[in-house]
Amino acid sequence: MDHFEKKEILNESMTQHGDYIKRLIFSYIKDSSKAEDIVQDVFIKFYKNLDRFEGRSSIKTFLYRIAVNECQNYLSSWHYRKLKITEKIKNLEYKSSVEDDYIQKEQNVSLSDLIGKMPVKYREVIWLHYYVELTVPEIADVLDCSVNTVKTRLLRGRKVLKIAIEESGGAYGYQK
Amino acid sequence: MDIKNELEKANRDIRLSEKEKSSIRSRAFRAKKTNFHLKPAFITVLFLLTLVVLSLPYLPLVNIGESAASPVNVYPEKPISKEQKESYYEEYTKIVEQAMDLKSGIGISLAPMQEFKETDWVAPIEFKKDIDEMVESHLATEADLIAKRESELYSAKTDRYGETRKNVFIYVPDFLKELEVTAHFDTRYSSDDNRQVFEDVASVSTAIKSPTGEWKQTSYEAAIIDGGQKYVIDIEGTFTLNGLSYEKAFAIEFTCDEFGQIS
Repeated sequence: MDHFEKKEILNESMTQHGDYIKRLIFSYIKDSSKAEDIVQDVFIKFYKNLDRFEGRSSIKTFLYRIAVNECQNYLSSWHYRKLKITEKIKNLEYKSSVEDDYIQKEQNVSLSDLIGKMPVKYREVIWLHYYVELTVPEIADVLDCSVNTVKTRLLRGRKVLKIAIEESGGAYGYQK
Repeated sequence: MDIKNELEKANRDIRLSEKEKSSIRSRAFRAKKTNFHLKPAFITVLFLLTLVVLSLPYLPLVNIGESAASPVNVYPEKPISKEQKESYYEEYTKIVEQAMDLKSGIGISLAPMQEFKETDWVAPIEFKKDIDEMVESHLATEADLIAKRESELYSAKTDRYGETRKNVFIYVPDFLKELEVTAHFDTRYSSDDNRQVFEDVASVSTAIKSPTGEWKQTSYEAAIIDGGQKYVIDIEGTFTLNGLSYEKAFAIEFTCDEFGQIS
């Protein structure tokens, strides 16, 4: 792949996927300035690695794989592991499962809030499937896991969302 | 309303700007250009190395260790002792507490000491730098998001009972929430300035206007500034959503015009 071809792919990818990638990164990191840094690194890595792109997957999944890896690296970094800028838990009543807890408390929250508060493993598949519109095998490729794992996580994620939506009085149309 | 549309709507402000794209291009292409200069650069380095090696016998011996200023060692080179770790952890705890005392709405918690790996121990000065960056980044995000939506807020209104209401946005990760501040102001005529000025404030209360979350005001402190033309009220409280609480402090300003109208 020559320099001009790579340049063209980079420009096209930023136009087509730039906003999506940045939003996906933000959904993981929840820090806008850090998301800005990471989105830059993702596209630069994408550009530099285009020579190694073998065409076994699509350019889109190749790009998303880099984005997800960068986010996961950040989330497992010292900075994030040792200091969680998430919440100061004061009155949290510990429930037997995350899902139960989640469903009971989310009565009056927007769908986006609901997804944002889901555990990462469910949130990422929901984002990649419904928002980025990747297929299950493509998500498996991006997340480097099996198709069955993706299916299970999607199913559980959908279940959590569906129940929460129904309990909120069906304010949201739910399909699939 | 489907999931895609809902996520799109909630995240519409997050965009890859033209400025960011141009920065990416410049960084990516700059990195590429360096490859073209690799050979000459390598030759230059080789030449300089040869020159240094050849001139070594003619250079006076200098004890670098004594002459060089010692930089602050932020990453300990050797594993630190248990006592040092405890001392560092104590320092880290104090730093986190100080950051939390700002009540910026950010929640920072320190992982238990047992979870720290050898490589995680950094000098407290470096740790503090990290925490300060987190808080600054949070406050910058808050200022940015509020500036974008400030125009949506109604201007202050005073009812016939003398209660003035004004709305503000507060930012708690990752949402902007709207609060209504109510206060009862007394104004008086100032003959020195030939205008109405603030005299007192009472019954300052806050209520959440956003559909989700709960707000509980814990304290407030008011100060008259600008010769009685402005009241700055610092309010503190706790915002709770889904059982998670965030301590938040914010300031709101009320202005009294020459006729006693409050805005």
